[in-house]
Amino acid sequence: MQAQGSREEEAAVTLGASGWTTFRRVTLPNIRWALLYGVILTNARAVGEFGAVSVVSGAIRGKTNTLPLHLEQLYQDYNAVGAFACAALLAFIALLTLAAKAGLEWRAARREAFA
Amino acid sequence: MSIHLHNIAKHFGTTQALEPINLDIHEGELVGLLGPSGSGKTTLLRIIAGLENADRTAQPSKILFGDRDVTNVHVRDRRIGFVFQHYALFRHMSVYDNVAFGLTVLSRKRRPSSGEIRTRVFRLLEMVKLEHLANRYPAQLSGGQQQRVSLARALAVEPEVLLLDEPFGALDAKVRQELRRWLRHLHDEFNFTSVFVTHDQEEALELSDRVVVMSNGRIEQIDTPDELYREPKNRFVFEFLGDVNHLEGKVTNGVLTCGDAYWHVDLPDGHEELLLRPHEVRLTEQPTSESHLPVTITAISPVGAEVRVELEADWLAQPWLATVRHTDFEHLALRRGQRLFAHPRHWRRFPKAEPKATEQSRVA
Repeated sequence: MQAQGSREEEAAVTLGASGWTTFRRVTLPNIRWALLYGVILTNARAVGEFGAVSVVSGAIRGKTNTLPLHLEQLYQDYNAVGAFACAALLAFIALLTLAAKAGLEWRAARREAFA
Repeated sequence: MSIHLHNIAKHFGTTQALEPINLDIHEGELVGLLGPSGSGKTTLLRIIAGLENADRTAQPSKILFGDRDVTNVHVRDRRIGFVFQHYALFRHMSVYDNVAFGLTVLSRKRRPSSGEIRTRVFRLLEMVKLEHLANRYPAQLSGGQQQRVSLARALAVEPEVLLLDEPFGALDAKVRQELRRWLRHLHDEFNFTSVFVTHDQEEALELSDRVVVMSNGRIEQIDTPDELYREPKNRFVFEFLGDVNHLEGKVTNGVLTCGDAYWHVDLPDGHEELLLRPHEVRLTEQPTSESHLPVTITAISPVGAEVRVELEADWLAQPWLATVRHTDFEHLALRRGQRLFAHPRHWRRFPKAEPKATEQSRVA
């Protein structure tokens, strides 16, 4: 956002737009792809995180548990079916995230070639 | 809508960007703010627009549009059109949506119907001759086209005051010329008050009704282009408005000497620095009884209607520039390395001792 500067926002204000309108119609559209990309990367981190959550959350079942921690607990309970189901689900989420990221990058490359 | 500025000053940190300034701009005028970078011209324009606030000082500052006091009015309510140096078009919107923006953000009560917005946008696009590009995006347009879109966008809200920040700075010479003429035409047709910022003296002199020359946050002179060129108030204005040749030397008994050069002038004894424009230098093959200023040609460049000749000599600290007509150029058969004599036709001096210099000049 800093690299983009505030020129377009200034232009919007001189044309009579309010702060909220400027954000909704000028700022947000300009940052939407970067924002979405950030969400996807954060999602990838969240899915993969194990150690930090394990230390901090206490891993109370059904309350402060995450999918990777749940997987570990199931495995320690000798619930192999449940554990592998969770692992498959995690892998599926990872694949989805990867597909979304690839899609966004493809779009960005195309827009760059276009511009 | 006339603009009155009273006691406008501005600090950025410890630097004084603008010293307290008073300025009156009449209704329907096209005024150019001219100055080198860092002279405060853009700051002044942004303060008029309301994008920047003037310092709060002991003496209150005031900005009036006509009778309306807009000192504390937010930009969005000042009803101005602002054209940015780098266009600042909305990248994710088509040309049509860019121009329509100012109308679509109006409150529901004041917003025209979508049909009317459409006719108004197309009328504006027709005016800037871009109606065939309404569906394009800014990245698909040339610089000149983008600037025209930016102008149409600013005019869509029917501003009473149009402010332009170096509008043609980033464009090539030919497009700039065309847009200048076109802006002048537009200004005369719609009769709004316009203020534009430029560092190009030619642009300021060509386009403006009056020019405000600024340096170091001060206004040096406000005048019509004609008067500004003929009667610069001080040395800064004179030097900024075109090429200048310096002649420094000692005057004794009405003769100015400088190395092996001498020249008869009507001046009291003492150290003098005289300034002259390139077209005020005449070149001949022989010295006269009045002057003996030997020079050597170091460069020749034909530029359009005249030939620019660079002159050097031992007695000159900086080379001189002279402009010669093509007929004279052929007559004298000028070539590099040739030795000639210069004759000043007209000169000026701006004595340093007196801050409010009375300009003195003489036709030789």
